[in-house]
Amino acid sequence: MPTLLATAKMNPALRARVESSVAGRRLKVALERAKPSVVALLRFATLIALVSLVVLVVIARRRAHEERETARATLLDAVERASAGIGPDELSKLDRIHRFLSELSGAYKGDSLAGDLSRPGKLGELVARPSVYVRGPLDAFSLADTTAKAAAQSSKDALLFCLIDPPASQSEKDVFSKARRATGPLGESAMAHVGRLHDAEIGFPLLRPDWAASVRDAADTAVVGRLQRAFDRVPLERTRQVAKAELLIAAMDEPNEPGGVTELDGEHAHFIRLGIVDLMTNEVLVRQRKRVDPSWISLGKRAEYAAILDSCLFGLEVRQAIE
Amino acid sequence: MPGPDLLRFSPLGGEAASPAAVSEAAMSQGLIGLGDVETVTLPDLLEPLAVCRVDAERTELSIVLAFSGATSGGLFAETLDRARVPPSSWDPAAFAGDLFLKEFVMSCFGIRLGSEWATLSTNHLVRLLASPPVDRAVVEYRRAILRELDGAPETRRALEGVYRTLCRLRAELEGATAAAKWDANRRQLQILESFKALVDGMVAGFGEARSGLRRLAAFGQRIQAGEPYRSLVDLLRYDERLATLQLKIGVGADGRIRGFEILSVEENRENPFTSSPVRRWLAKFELFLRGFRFSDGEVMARLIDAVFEGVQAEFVALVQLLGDLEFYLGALGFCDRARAAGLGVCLPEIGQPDEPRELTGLFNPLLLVHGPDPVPCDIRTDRQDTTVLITGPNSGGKTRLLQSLGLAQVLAQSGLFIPARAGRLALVPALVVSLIEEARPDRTEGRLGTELMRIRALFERLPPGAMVILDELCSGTNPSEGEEIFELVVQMLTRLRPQAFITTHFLGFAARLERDRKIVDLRFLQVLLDGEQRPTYQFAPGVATTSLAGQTAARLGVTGEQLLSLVERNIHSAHQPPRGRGR
Repeated sequence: MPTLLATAKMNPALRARVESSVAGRRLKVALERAKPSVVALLRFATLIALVSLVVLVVIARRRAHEERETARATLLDAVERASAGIGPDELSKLDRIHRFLSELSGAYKGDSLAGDLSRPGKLGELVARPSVYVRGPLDAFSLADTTAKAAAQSSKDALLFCLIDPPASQSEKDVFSKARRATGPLGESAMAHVGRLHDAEIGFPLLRPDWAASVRDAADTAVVGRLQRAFDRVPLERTRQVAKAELLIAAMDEPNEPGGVTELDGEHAHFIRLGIVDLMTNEVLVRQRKRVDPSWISLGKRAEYAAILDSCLFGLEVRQAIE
Repeated sequence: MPGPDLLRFSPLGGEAASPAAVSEAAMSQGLIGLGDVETVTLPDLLEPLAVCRVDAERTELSIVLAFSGATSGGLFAETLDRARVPPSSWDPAAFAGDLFLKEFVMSCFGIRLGSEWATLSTNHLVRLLASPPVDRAVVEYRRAILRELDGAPETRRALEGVYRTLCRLRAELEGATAAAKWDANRRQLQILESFKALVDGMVAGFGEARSGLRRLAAFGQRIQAGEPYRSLVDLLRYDERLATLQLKIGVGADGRIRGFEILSVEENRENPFTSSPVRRWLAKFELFLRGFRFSDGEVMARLIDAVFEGVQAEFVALVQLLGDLEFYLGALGFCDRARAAGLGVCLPEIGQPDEPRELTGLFNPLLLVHGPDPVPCDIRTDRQDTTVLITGPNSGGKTRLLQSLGLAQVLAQSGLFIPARAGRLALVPALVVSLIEEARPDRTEGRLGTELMRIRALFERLPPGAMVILDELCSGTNPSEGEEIFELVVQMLTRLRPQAFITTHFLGFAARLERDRKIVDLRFLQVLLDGEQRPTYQFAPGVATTSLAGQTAARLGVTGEQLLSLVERNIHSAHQPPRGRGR
């Protein structure tokens, strides 16, 4: 086998001897150390192992990179689809909602009604527009983070349902019949155009450009995965709905009146404020404040349904007061 | 039938002579078997037909091991100890011990190298001397070499130079130098350098030789003509001078270096071992992958190994050559020592058994170192195939004479100088020497029984025409019975026509034998005494009339008066009170 130790100027016989020596076939060579072929084999095996390790590491890293990029692309694609049509105006809606909520929760400025909403049917038309709804304690709406917590607790309840589709009368029977359907299919259908503020609170950050940038900047697969999981947890369709909302409907429960009875479901006599804000024009269209007291509810229903009955009655009273 | 080498040689000139004539002429000049350059694979200086006397395969393996540094010491000595000696009909057991052959070699065969004495392969030399060749041609071959060395001082100096280089090579191979301790490559390169110096020395020193020494030149020329030698030279040049740098160094007034500039770098590109720096680095990497170290030293080690493989077989011949050189240089050393003592040595004339024996200025070489100055003597007999009875006083030199005769025969038969100024000897098929045996604790027989066993052993191993040396035959019994056995032995000996030398104190018996002349081929020599009855250590025909026992006794303090004084002293001492020992 040729060797680099042999040069072209060497005699062929000398070259053959050099090759023999390098091949370790000489007794003298064997005496000087462990058999070169064994050492060579060990080194070769070590080299192969090292190269294999490097190749495996490279392949693993490349695979991880590909997976990361695939996941990133998938997530970015999803983000892009989710944020399609959602511009800065829509995304600024949350801040404006917080401002309005903070304003509405401040010193009450008295009932008000904008435009011709007092005309019959106008309020019904108003509350049929795409809206975002939130209800919570009054003092929760002064700051953004407490607002977000209140929004997480808030759902589309009997107050909203009865505001949109009021019962026939204030009788307990009619109110109870309507209020009880708020959480069923009828209520869902009637309130389908209304989104929860909570969906905006958790979804809007994901629709902002900086979130997409964080996805693009994610350094490893774990971060991308975390972002993906966060993305998957958010009902972005509902968030998109809220982003397109035209109205803000906010119901704020003032603190309970001192004394009195608190029912089993927590209902107590107290005032409720309702504000309806046109998010397109940034105008407060409706401001109403009324007192609810569960004492009008029959004992048979009061303990268990006082809250929903009071809420539904409030909605009805607002409709009646305006129209 | 002569071999092919012999048929090619024609010293008589013209057309090739008949094999017999060629043999005779060549034999006289000791040039038998000297082939041309291509056939000289072995510089055998002991036999005309070159023979490898060492175990070539085993020796080459030992050489490889020694070169690699795996073994240490004794390679050459052990190989020579196991080497075969030329065929001989002599039995070393029959004479070597009684002639103190080993002591002779150790004391007389010295080789001086500058201010030091060389360490000889004594056992090998003793074996060579104890087995002299039976072939006359071999003897003449050796005599021719010795004659040329003794006659041409420059040839002798050349041989000593070769031997000195060979000793250095031996020391380097056997790990006796400092380089072996720290740099294996350097050590191996030194060995190769010594090998080259050896080959060059053989070519340069013996190109004009006329005897078997010419083989050294032929051997060296064959090696020089081969590729392995050229590769060796190239490698040594590569090691010595890979490149030449011209430097310019500026030195200030304070002696410090101010500037350093490389003016030029010139690589020895013609050398086949030279390669580019990139190739050298790749070669190192290649060796690493093949299981070697990643170093310039490893590259050099491979190249050294490849070069050595080409010449390693030649080292076998060098081991044998060492023994051959010691044989001749030892003989020359003996010659120098003798001449320094004012004694003469010579290459004797080889005659026939029926021709006169003449030894002029014969001396005992064992006395050169150990004893008093040897006194040379002259020995002459009308024929060599005779039995000589030697008589004379005790300490008259009879035993020393026997030793001298035996050693002279050994040396002559080996083709070397004999301890005599001039001489004529006949070659013998065997030598049997029996001097007085000392009492041993395991001996089962008495003195007579031992003596009879000695006689029996003598006749068991004695071929016709052999040389026999007996000291004080039958001295261990009463004279009358001893003389009877003595006469029987002498009569039987004559039937074998030996060259026999026998000393005896049976003076009356010897005188009777001389008078009666009943036994043919019996001769008599006696120690000559001076006017004061002291031995002169010279010998003349005849039988001594006295053993001078009285003078010997007086000399050694064993007279009546001397013994009486000793007895009276001892009695006086016995009556004295014992003295306490001091602390």
